[in-house]
Amino acid sequence: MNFFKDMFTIFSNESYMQIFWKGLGTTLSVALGASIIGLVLGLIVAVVKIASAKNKKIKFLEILCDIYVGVIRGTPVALQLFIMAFVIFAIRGFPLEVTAIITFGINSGAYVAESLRAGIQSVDYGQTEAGRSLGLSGMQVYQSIVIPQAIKNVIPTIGNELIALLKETSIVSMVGLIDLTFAAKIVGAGDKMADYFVPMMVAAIFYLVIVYALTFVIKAIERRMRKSERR
Amino acid sequence: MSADNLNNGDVIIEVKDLHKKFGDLHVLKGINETIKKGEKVSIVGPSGSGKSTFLRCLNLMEEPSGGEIYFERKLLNDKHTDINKHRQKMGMVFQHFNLFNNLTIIDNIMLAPVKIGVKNLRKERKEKVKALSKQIKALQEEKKTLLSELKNLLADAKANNTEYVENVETSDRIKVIDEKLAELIADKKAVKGNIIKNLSGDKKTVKAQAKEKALQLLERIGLSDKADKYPSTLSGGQKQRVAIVRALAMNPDVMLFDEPTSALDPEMVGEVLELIKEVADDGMTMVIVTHEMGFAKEVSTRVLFMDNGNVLEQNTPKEFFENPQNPRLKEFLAKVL
Repeated sequence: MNFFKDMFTIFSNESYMQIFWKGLGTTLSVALGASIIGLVLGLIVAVVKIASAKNKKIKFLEILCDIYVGVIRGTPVALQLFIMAFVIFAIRGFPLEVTAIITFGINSGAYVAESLRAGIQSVDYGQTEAGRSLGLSGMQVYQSIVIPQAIKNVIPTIGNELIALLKETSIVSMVGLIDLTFAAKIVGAGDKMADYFVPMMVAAIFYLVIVYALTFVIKAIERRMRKSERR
Repeated sequence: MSADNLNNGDVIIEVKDLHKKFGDLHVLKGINETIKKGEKVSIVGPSGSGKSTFLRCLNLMEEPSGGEIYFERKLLNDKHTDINKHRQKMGMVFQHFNLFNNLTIIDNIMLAPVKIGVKNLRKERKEKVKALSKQIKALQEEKKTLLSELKNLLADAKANNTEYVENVETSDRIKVIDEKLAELIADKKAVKGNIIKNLSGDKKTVKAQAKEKALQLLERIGLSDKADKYPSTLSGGQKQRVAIVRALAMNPDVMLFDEPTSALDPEMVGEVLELIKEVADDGMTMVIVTHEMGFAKEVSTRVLFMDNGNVLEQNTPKEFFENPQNPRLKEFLAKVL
């Protein structure tokens, strides 16, 4: 019964809850900011990579993109965060939260780029041919035909990526930013608690609720996008 | 451009010594062909003979490895040619329909006319502003020279201590220029203001026109009720008919058909051929790669036989099918007829 008692203590104690709310805010803002950067960066990298693979003049861009994706995917995100927080943005007064958003944005951009590239290449080349045969430019075909179909194809993968990103943000506690995970640790060390298990469970519930909500939204988008396939 | 195709106004497509290689594979081995306005040319031949590749070279869906392709007297395979502009005048119909899966049927038909229409409008506007700016600049230059002339006269008069006589002609001219400048600047302002203010309005007009045309085309093929459906809900024959009117929506001068019935269920071939025949009867210039010999015989004005990257024989459909000369063609016809 101790478990429920402790749980009740946490939810009824305003100062504990305040720590959790603050942590939740950090987790959400880092995840949201990073996913926006990641999606935009990923789309740019994916398009540049495909365009430069065809055009020899901008071959160096493809190499640049490969290095970016390779380095980001080949090193742990915790290490990337340390480098950003303790070396590159080790500027007095520079908000850690922004550092975290940039780090996770750049990190998820690499993964998003790869899945988007696969998504773009999975669109039947006949679609492009039909568009070009009507006199549309390559850009117009991309914009109106290929990218919309590619996005529809990759919504499930991108959704997974966003869920993974949300949970990965728990690493920010390692550089001292108070997110949900760190909040649980602080509460666990509080004077009325001296127990980590229950606060961690509370944090877990928060994460679960967010992930379920996110899953619901992704499913809804997927359903909407699949409209064109329904018979 | 050679002199002989300048003299011949009827020629719409001219191909000279066309070669195409895919790596080591030499698919087209020097094809020469002239297609005149209103002609319906069918290309038949065994698989792998290069007939589809030849057709796809005509609108540069495949980049030729050598030779020249002229469309409406313009060299297409040239770096400085705006291929998109010419492709707007060359409709293409594919074996696998290639309707845009993410767009409704009506949007499939409207996409290119709207996108290209709006782009052209913008370009037109920009050019108008450019031309006006040029005129304004020229007038301003002229005014400047005239003013300096007057100034020199005044200075001369002062230096020589003679009385300054006003040059009436010059000052009159300046007055005229001033008036004209004010007019032009007002014009430019009006057009420029329009660009920003009326762009959405322009888009609406272009869209409305495209929609009207698209609905007419859908009505023609009896698919008006499918306008807001997606391609996945259509049968193969319906898809191909939509693909044909999608190409027609751009008002092309030539239609290229790449085996338009090969991917269809047998029972749907008829409706598609019927539509192609209608288009042919409207006087459209057409090039058709097909395996439907009966159709080729009925619709075309000329039939080409391709084998192994060369055109081996060509003739009117009657002669072609009833009196073939080339042994390869005889063998081919014996197999398929």
